[in-house]
This record gives sequence, structure tokens and C-alpha cells, in this order.
Amino acid sequence: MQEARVLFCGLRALGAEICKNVILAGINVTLMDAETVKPEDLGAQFFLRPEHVGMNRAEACLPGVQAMNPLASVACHPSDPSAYPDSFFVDFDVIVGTDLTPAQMRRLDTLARQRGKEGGREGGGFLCAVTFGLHAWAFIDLGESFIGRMDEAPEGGRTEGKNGEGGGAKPLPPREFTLAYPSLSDALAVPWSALKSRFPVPRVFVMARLLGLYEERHSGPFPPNATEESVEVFVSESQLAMGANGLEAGFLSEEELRALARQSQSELSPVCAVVGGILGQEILKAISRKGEPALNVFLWDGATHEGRVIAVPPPKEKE
Amino acid sequence: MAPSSPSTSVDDARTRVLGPTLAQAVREAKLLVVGAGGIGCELLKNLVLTGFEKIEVIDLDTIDVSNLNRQFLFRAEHVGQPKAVVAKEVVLRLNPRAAKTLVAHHANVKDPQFNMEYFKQVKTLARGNGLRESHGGRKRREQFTLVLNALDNIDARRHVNRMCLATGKAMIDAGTMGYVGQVNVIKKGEAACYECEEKPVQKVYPICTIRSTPDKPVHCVVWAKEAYKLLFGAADASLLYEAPDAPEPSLYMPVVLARPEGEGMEAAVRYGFRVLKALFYDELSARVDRGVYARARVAPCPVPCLGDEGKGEDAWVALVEDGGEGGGEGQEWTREVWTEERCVLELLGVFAALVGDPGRRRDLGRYDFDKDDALAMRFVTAATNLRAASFGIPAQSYHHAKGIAGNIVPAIATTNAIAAGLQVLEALKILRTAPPSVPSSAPPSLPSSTIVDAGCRVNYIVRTYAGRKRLLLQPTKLHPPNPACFVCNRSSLDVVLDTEASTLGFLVEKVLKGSLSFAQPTITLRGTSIIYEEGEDADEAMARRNLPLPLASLPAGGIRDQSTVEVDDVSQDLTLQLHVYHKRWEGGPEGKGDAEAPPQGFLLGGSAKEALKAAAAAAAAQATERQRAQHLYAAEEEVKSTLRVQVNRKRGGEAREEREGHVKRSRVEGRGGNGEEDGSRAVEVIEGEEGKGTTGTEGEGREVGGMGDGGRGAFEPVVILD
Ligand SMILES: [Zn+2]
Repeated sequence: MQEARVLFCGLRALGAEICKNVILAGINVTLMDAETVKPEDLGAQFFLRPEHVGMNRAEACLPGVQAMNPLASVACHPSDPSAYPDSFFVDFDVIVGTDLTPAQMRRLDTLARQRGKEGGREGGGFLCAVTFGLHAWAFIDLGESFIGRMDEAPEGGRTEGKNGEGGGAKPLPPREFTLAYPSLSDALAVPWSALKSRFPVPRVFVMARLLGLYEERHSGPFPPNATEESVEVFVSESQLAMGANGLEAGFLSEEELRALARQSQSELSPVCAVVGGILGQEILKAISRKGEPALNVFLWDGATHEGRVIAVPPPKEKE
Repeated sequence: MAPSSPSTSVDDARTRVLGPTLAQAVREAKLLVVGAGGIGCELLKNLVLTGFEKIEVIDLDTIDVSNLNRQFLFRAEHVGQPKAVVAKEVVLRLNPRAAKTLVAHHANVKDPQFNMEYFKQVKTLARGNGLRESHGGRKRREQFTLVLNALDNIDARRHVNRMCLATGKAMIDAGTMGYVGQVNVIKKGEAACYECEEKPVQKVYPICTIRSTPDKPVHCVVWAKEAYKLLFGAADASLLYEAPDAPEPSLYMPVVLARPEGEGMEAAVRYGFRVLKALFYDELSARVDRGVYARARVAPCPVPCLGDEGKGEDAWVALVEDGGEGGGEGQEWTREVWTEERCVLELLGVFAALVGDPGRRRDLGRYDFDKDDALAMRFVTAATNLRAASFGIPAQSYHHAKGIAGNIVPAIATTNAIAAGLQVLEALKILRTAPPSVPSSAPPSLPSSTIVDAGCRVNYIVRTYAGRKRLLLQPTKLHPPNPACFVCNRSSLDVVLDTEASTLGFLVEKVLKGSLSFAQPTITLRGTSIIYEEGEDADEAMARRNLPLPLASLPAGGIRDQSTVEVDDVSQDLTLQLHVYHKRWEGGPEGKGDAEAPPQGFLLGGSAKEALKAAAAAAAAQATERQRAQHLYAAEEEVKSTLRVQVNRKRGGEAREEREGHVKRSRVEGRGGNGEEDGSRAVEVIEGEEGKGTTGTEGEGREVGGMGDGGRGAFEPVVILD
């Protein structure tokens, strides 16, 4: 754990929350963010203060992050992932993207998976997450074959050394499991209607994908202060996208789509705290290989307060 | 257009998510936050970043070094300062607008200054922060809109629960234990209160107890686990770790750091001896000399066999090389209590194995304590007992130490973060349904039916997603108030104790205050005769006279079997009818020597009911047993068939075993309330709960997450470090 290193691409409120939880656990972190601190960043990001406005976001966060754990090492890169060659990313056990473009997400996911295939190294992990208004989604990829151990062996399932001369017999190792994670591209290719199980297609998943698709089409996220016109563009494009993915046109109402557009770039502190706590824990599970990590999408529904894990694509065999 | 100032941009961003009405309600709401520790730090940060400005925070504690890795608002330079004050100052930097309305109280929430008037905030109070000018120039505090609990101990949470019930305030309570946690919304008459379900024993130990003033075996086990981490694991994460520039450095740190470079048994054992001497002898002697324990009841006594009067380093090394005393055969040794010398040899053996062995040495710094790792557990058992010996605490067998060690649940920062986030989201739900305030400067007051209409939930946080819905965060509907709750429904409560041996002092301190969290009880017999009271204008002479008397010998006829006692607490607005049942356990009031006697000397509530039922059942069973024996005898005489008699006898045996099992179980449950921690019993609590947590099958949180039926409190920490 002490030697692990986690890369944070993007240090808005959610990135900061996850980063706080990871560095408090004693793990080394690297901060990467090309943006400058804007006044509205101060609302939900606790590493930033008014005097930081205009500075690079990663550099502004650096002292606060380091102060949380003086013993962990903290590095800082005031730029974009595109400024670095593929080899740069091999050094990280987990890459966390909270402010990445769709293309950057795919690139970093591919790199993390490749690291897992190369000999001599444990697989790298990739995790990306976004909050929008009260809701959030996260995608987790720990590679083609992630081997972990359960938290605790069942009672009585172990033998103990009779005689502890210099340690005695070792306890049986805890139960191991292997998980196969799909890549980001594979997950995003799944038609949304395929996520219907005995429960309906998760609304938060659809919302997250609609915002993601908008970003791909328009080469940028839906802007916070957009005109009514752009909102209507988002609504009609989203209706088409839902249809193309096998959902009925009214799966999300026009009113819901407008609200989604308006809140798309807004982070709310308690939502980031909840999701940042869950994802911080998932990263610790991935690094320690103790406890079963989520496979492979986490959804936080701020309306119902449900925090769900779903598999995308869904498991082939129906239960 | 002029560039926007930071605060307006931030407001715009919040308003986009919250909407203008809620954003304004947030700015105007006035909150009471109780606790500025693990959950409290997260909570205050979230509140201020969400736009809350009027907050009062109460916390009794000062900041300890060991808080720094979880309570993220605190830095090394804050050690020793009040948590509430530092937390306030740090979060103010996030929202300077709250400078005049954020108030910190470094105090106990049970202090009289935080009485019902304070919770209601209707009384004219002295000048100070948070006061506003109102009609006629009178200084008047604003009403609290909501109370948020971020406490780690049951007693204070109960107290705040009662204050909120008494004043009609909505309260959002959060609690975590390791990787699980819950956030619950409470309001009188609308939903279950914090005390609607009996909670299993919860123990929270302050860090200074662990580091300086242990007085229970569990304190020593916690210390021993930290020592294991310091020596073989992530040293800097240990409670015992000290940075090189620490003020008042301990003697052991330089010794611990001087680990031999190469491998080799002898060097490892010699290093081990020096570490043990520093930890168990030199450091303690130095602390005694410094006067650290000048005010302690008993000063610790450093372990003599490690000191100058002991046999010395060379002799110990030779003993280890001879193979020491060794383990023993079978499982017997796990039940033995080791001598001090055996403990030293065990510890040196662990040093030889982990520091001396080339293979294991490579992993130094990475060892994680695991109670099922025999070597780690040997270390912890031996270190526990040497520590215990210094402080006059009874030693533990390997088996018993393992039971305690497996039951210690550390606080986990991420669980606290999630819980605090959920608290704020529940608060937003409540404010969303609150009517807009008129005039706009007054904080919103809540209409009568608030938390149900607002769609508040009980939120459970679990470690592993389970059930069809695969939830890591499980909301459930608010539980209805429990009609049998003595706090919110004024239900009566049963207590079983020895009325001839237990004194009034015992009833007041152990039962009423210790187990039922009364603050200032008044006790009335037969409707009119007050036999005990506390607080202002109390009859102290009467209290002094009555406290030492056995219950049965009190005036007004005394408290005897089937007496009903009325207990009132004006400070908590609470009245309780306590039904007393007399029972004499063998071996005196503390019940020593009687296997069935509760260690606390009394049984309360559900446990008392169980015990009364069990006693009745046992009496009935005894009668049946007698009958059955008579039948058997008759059958034997009559049929003269040995085979048939054997079968019947066997059946009789099974029935007896079953009954004995039942009695044992009810005894175990009977240790609820504030029973002494008991490793094996406490382990049962945890195991039961974890079992449910991972095998739950439904998405509805009542079944999943170990919070079914006896539920809401089922994951109350047994031991939390915070
Ligand atoms: Zn109640």
C-alpha cells in the first residue's frame, strides 16, 4: 500500500474528495489538471480558496493535499494527459479521471489494461466518475483478470498452527476470487435497453450516457450557462439517443432532460462526499486486493438515495 | 460585464443544483452540529460548501496526533487544541461569509448550558456570536432548524436524542463502525427515535486511555495491535508512532528505528530485547519519573524481568536459542495464561521470525495484523499481557485475546465521509419542503409533519453489495416509533436486580446513569415519596442519607420485588416507570461465582424480560423433567426392556442439553446494557451482524446490511477508535 501511486486527472470537487480519501489512507498521489482555478470552483472544492483563483488547479491543490499526509508523496503536473506519452501512465496503480474528455477516458482505460497484460506487473486500474446535480455515475475497470481476496475467511475454514515456534503453521490463505472487467469501449457499446433486468433500466445510467454523448458530439460538455436553444438541442438529441438505444421516447421526460442539462456541470459538496467515499473505498480495495471491488459501474441516484452496482454489459447468464 | 466575484459565482453554481428557494433556505437555516471528530469534520466541510452559514458546533475533545489520519481538517500544529474551535476556523476559510454566524463550543453537550432552552433557543441570552437584535432591542437567539449528530458514543447520542424529542427538533443522526454505517432521521411522533431499539454494548476508547492510562484488557489489546503495526507494519500509521520532531519524544522511537541492517537470528533477538525493554520498562519508568501518573490511582509498574533487575540481554538471547518454553500440544496452550517470562520469550520469538528470517524480513513494513495469523496473534497476546502486568490488569489467554482482538473495529475515513454526505442530503430534503420564511431573514421553522413528507430515509452504508439490487448504499423508509420505547413513548421498563444487596447508589450510577443515560434523575416511590433528587435546589442531605442504603431498606417501604419506581429527569423532559424484580444471584450482588449472574449485577429491558421468561421456563422445565424421570422409572419397571429404556434416556439427555443451551443463550443476551466487555460475547455480536450483512438477499435495507429486526443498532460499534 505504501508504494502504490494513484493518478488523479481532474481536481474539481469530486476529484478532490476521492483524492482526500486516498491520501488519508497513506497512498501516494499524483495530481494532474490543466485548468486554472475559476471562481465557481470554490463552491464545492475544499482544497481551494479565493486566493487560488487564476492559478493552475493541480498546483493550487498541492499544498492542501500534501498537508493531509506529510508522509505520502505528492507529485503535480499542471497539464493535460495528452501532453504525456503512453509510457508515463504505466507507473500508476490506479488512474482516476473525473474531468476527462471521452477520448482521454478511452486512451487511459486502454493504457491501464495494457499494463495489466505486460509481465511482471500487477494490473493497473482505471476509474472515471462524474456527478451531475444530485446524481453520479462511475465506471471501474480493474483489467481482464483481477485477483483479490475476500475480507475474512469463514470461521472454522482455517487451520491454525499447533505450535508456534517461530510462527508455527500459517493460516490458510483467505478465499481468492478473480474478476474479469470489460473495457470502457465495450461497456459503452452496450445498448441501454440491454440493462433491463428484473429492475428497469437505471435512469442515472441513461442520464450519464446522454451527457457523455452530448460531449462527444459537440466536442465539449454541456455548458453551465447555456442558452435555452442549446437546452432544446440537448433535449431533442437525447430523445433520439434514447430511441436508438431501445428505450421509449418518454423514458426521461422533456422536463427531466432540461433539468439534467441545466445541472450537468454542477457539483454539490455532499454528493461528491458520498460518491467520493464510495470510490475512495473501491480504490483501496483495488490496491490492497482485499474485499470485493464493484464490477463495474456504480450509480448514485440522488432522488432515491440508492447507491447501486450494475454490470455493463450485463452478465450473460440470467440468474 | 464586470468579472464576477468568487462568492456570486459559487452561489450561482449552487443555485443551479438546489434551485433559488432551497439555496436561500440553506443560507438561512440554523444548524446545531454535535461532534467535530471523524464524522463532524466531514459534516462541517460539506455544510459550509453547500452554503450553510449559521452553524453552532459542540465538541468536548482536543485534537490528538492519532486523529490526523482521519479527521482531515486537523494538522500536526493543531494537536492539543479544541476540535470544535479548530474545525470552525478551518472551514471558515472555505466560506468566509459565515464568520459571524459559525459558533464553536468546546464543551460537553450534556453541560447545563445546553439545556432545553438552548435547544429551543427561545430565551434571552447573553451577548455573543449568533445573537440577533429583535423587537425592543432584546437579544434573542435564533431557533435551530435542525440538529445533526456526529457523535461516536451512545450516551451523548441518547442525550441529544432526548433533547430533540423534548423540544420537537428534527435530528439527523449518523454512526459508523468500520465499513458499515447508517444515517437516520428522527422527529418526535413521526419516526423511531434513537432509543426505540435496544443497542448492543458499544465501547469507545479515547486514544489517551490506550496510550497512557489503560485499565481494561481491551485497552492493552488495542495497544498491542498498534505495537505490532509500529514494529512490523506501516509504522507511521500506528498510534504509537512519533515523528522525529515530536514534542516530548518517547524513549522507544529511536530504539524501534534502529533495526539491524542484516538478517540473522541473534541480531534480531538482541534488537527485539532492546525494543521490549524500551517499550515495557524504560518508557514507563521515564513517564512515572516525569510525574505523568502523579494523579493516577495506581502508578504503572514497569515489567521487572526486562529491567536492570532482570536476567539481562545475553541470558534472554541464550534462552531463545535454546528454544524457549515452546508452544505445547494440541489446543490446550491457547487457553493458558502465559507468565511474564513466557510472554517475553514469545515476543522475542516473533522478532526472530520476522526480523531475523531472510524471507519474511523482506516484507517488514507491510505486515498487517490479522487475528488468524498465529504469529501476529502470539505477538499481540504476549504484548497485551506485559502491558496489562504493568498496569495491574488481568492477563489474557491467547484464545481470549484473540476474541477481543477480532472485535476491535477501527474507524474508517471513507465511511465517515459517506455518512456525513448523506446527512447533508437528508437535511436538504427537509429544507426543501419547509415553507419559505417570512420575513426572509428569519431561519425557516419546520411545519409539524416534516420528515415523512420530505421523503427522508434511513440510509445504510455496507461494505459489499449484496442482494438482487446490488446496493452499496441502501435507503429504507423511516421506521415507525416503537410503542415499547421508554424514551419517545413513555413505556415502562423492567429491571432485575438484588434489591437486598444493591444500594440506591448502585441503582442511580450503574442503572439509571450508566445504562439508561439519565442526566439528573429524581426517584419517587409510591407516587409521592421522593427518595432521591439531583440538580438545583435538590435535597442533598436526603441523597447522602439514602445512597448507601440497600434498595429494600429505603424509606417509604423501600424498593422490593415488583415495586414500581418513578424516575423523572427534568433536564431531559423524561419520565420512566421502572418495574423492579428481585433476584438473588449466588455469590453476592456482583454475582461473582454464579455462572448465570450478569456481570453488571442487573438485567434491564428486553434482557430482563428474557431472564424473567427464562426463569419461568426453567421452573416449568424442571417440573417436566421430574415427571419425565418418574415416567422413565415406571417404564423401566414395567417393560424391563433395556433397549427401550436406553432410547428414552437418550431423548431425555437431548432435552436437557437443549434447555441448557437456552439458558446459556439468554445469559449471553442478558449482558446487554452497559455490560463489561467480554471478548467471546462481543465477538458474537459482531459475527452475527456481519453474517447478516453479507448474506442478505433483498434490496430493502431492513434485511440487508445486518440491520434487520433488532436492527437499527445492530452495528453499533463494540470498540471504535476515534
Ligand atoms: Zn423511541
